[in-house]
Amino acid sequence: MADKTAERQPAQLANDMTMAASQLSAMVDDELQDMESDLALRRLSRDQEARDRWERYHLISNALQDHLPARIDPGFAARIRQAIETDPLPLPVVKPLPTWYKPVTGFALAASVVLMALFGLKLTQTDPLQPVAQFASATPDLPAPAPAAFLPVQTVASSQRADSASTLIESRLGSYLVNHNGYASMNSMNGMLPHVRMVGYQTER
Amino acid sequence: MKRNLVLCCATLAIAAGSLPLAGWSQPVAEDAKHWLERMLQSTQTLSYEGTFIYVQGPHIEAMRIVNGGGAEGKQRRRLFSLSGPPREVVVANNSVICLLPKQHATFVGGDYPRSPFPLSIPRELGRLQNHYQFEMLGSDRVAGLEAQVIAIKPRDAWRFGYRLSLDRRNGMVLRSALLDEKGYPIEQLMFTDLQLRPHIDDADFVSAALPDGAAAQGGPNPDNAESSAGEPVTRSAWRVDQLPEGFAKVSHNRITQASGRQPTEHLVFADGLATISIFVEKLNQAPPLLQGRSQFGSMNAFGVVVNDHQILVVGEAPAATMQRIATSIRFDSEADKP
Repeated sequence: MADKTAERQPAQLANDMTMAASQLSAMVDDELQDMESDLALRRLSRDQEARDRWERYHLISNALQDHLPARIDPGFAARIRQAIETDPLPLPVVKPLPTWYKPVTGFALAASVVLMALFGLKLTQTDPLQPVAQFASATPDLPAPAPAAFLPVQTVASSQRADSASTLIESRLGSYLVNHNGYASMNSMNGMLPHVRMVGYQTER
Repeated sequence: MKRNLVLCCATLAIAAGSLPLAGWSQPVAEDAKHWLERMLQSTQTLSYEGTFIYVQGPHIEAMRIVNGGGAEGKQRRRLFSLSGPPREVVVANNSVICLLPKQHATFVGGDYPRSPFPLSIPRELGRLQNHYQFEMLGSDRVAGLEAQVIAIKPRDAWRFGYRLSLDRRNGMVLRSALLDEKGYPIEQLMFTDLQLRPHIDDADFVSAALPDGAAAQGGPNPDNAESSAGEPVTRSAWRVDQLPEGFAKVSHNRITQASGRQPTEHLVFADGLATISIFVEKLNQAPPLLQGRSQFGSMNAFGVVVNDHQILVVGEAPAATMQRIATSIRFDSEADKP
């Protein structure tokens, strides 16, 4: 990027700088469109000069609007930045049980939750690195299965208990669906339709 | 003259489609029955490749099917989604594989019980007429092919109806609609392209997403095929008191899973067209999966908890049917004892 900038004509460079400055100024005033904001933020994240300018513009804006405190601490922003950098990342939010986990709302299966045991038979795995979606137990009194081997469909972090429980429920419903349609394909006039239903449900609804 | 008669019949048939169930005459029903016989035959014998769209409620999908007809146990099928996340079902040599490349998980069912169609033609079709009415509904054109439209209308409120467009050449289903109690489509399928094939190469049944020909032989992994198969249940404590007329039990298995879960009893009831499953699983104080009414794509479901067991009734039949069955299931503790 630096090389490219160096190759540019001085006039064009100055023009770019002016553009970037007016963009930042507009952003301070909250007058930028989403897409432009996105570009400006990217520029801010990689360009120290832009960040300095951003601080100055805010200072000017606050001074004009009489929002400044009696004393200004120039190191304040730097300390905040450092605090953010050293702060651990927030834990993922535990998702609530899906909406279908209530009676009369439908079993909408998520795209990631698909076909489980078929006709009650053992599941095989085609990729040894991936966990097999098994008919794992959701009952609390059974020994907790090893996550790599038993957690269905997706590797779920241990902190996401609610999520894994709902995944287990989904996997049970999924296995019911497959079993039902497997038998339905043998007992209805058009044996193709149940197979179509197996394939057809899995999109996110 | 003959042409006029045919035209007249077709007009009548179209008119009858909008009439109440009762007013239909016997000869046309016989014609419709003849078409359905052809349909059943084609289901088992035809080999073809095709693309179709599948509409279920507000959802629409495109899928592709490769079907190899043949003698019992020799039929093969590969069906996969062309839109949305990749999904696939491969049926061959007594096994069904459901493939989900996203999870790299393959589900193999060995011992796939093969009775592709329990209705022996035409005797059982006659039995079906106790609960459904067959009607001719005129002509249609699907995937550029001329089709005959047949209606299968339920005689009571316990089942759904179908409207089928059958290929005039061979009776194959080119288009189908599952209709609710009011006659509105719940689920529709329509071919947009269909090629009959005298022979389909083995390679065409192999899923590109399956590793190293896992499906090429169509057989399950022999190490796993038998290990946790559902075993037929001869003695069960569960009784269904209020089964709608015409539904008969076609299988009753106990599914034992490898992961230590309680075995699940799976009862299957069918009337020749609709299939209803009852799943019974011990909860061991775990929260129930479902209590009350729910919907599962084109299928209805009803859940109840009886004697610390989750009872789940699922099937392509009206919600009232599921509820009636679910609420009539009882646990007979004496029956389970040897």
